[in-house]
Amino acid sequence: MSEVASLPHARGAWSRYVIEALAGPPRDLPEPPALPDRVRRDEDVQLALYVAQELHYGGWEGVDDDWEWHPALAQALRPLQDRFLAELRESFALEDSGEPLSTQLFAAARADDSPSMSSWFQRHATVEQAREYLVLRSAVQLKEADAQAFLMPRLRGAAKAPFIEIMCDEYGSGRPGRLHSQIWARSMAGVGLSTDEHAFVDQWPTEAMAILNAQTIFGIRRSLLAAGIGFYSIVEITSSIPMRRYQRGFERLGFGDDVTEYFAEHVEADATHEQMMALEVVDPFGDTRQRRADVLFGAAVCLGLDGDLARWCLTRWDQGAAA
Amino acid sequence: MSEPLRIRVCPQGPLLVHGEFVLVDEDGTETVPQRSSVALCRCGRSTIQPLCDGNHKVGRPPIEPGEPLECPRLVG
Repeated sequence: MSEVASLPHARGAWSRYVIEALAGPPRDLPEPPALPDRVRRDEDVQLALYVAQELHYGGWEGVDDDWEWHPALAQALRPLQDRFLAELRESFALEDSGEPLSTQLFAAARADDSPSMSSWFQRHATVEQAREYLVLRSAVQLKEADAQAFLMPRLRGAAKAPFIEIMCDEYGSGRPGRLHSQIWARSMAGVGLSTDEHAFVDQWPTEAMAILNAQTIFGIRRSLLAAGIGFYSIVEITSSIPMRRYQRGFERLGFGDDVTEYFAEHVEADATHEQMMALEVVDPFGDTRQRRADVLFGAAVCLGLDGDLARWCLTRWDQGAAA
Repeated sequence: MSEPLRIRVCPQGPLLVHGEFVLVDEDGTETVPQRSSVALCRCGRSTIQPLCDGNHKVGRPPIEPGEPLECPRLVG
């Protein structure tokens, strides 16, 4: 069996199946493993999804790009993605009160009672824990906005232009080095971490991978467009205040501008983006009952999966352990 | 004739300015914000004045819901 150095280590039958598939040329595949009942906290399944779905982003060195939409891989993955979505629908929900969606999204973020990683971080994180935070979030932040970029061509109507304006800002508005993903990479480099997108895959817990996997699935299926919009509005709405806390935490630890710039930029950028998403994207976009329900579902998933990661992380940090 | 600046009053939130403008700070320093849309603080709690930093969402809502615009001197 050929091995591709860039691919991570398997964590079970499903990730082994995907990794062994991608290690060879696009071809028919054997029967996949049995589908587990529960996949949201299954690190083997989340890794399998992550590895396969990387083909929608930067891909893997040594892996044929034609695997991306190959029928054999799609056929194996579809039930896995569907099971994940079904479990997300069972786990996370926000009821439509009938008020403007923008009002409901701000209220949902405010009412969320997940523990706050950023509050703890500001006061207590050690240098080692600060590095671990960057590693954990790098699954998403080294490809910041890429999952949402899939939503752009799927939009029609008044929501499209303001959404794309936000995307442009995420990607630096045409200024080299100003992509938010690049600014994040500079934070990682500033604390001595590799900025390779795949450097830490083997270390990520399920919770870190699930956040990216959900966003990817929302992005690559038109039927989940509204969920993708709802998910991302919560990303923006729950950003500014935590970003200021992370900034202060890193400053407390003695790190300089190269590390804190990302957080300072996001305090300001996301205070603007959250209003644009809420008022200029979501409110016009949510023009049917189904769309409203799906926007709220996506929002609930974002709050829920972020909460999963926060609980995982704080349990370890509070005990003084490495995350 | 170019598009006028658009300023949106965000409910219990900042003023969202769309379009290019010159910002003159309290020292008289002029900058042209690089972002295509800029949120300006309306509540006074921002730590990055005059820009919004989201602090209007913390604690008791600082801004009362506004009455509909009825100023006769503004062109509707």
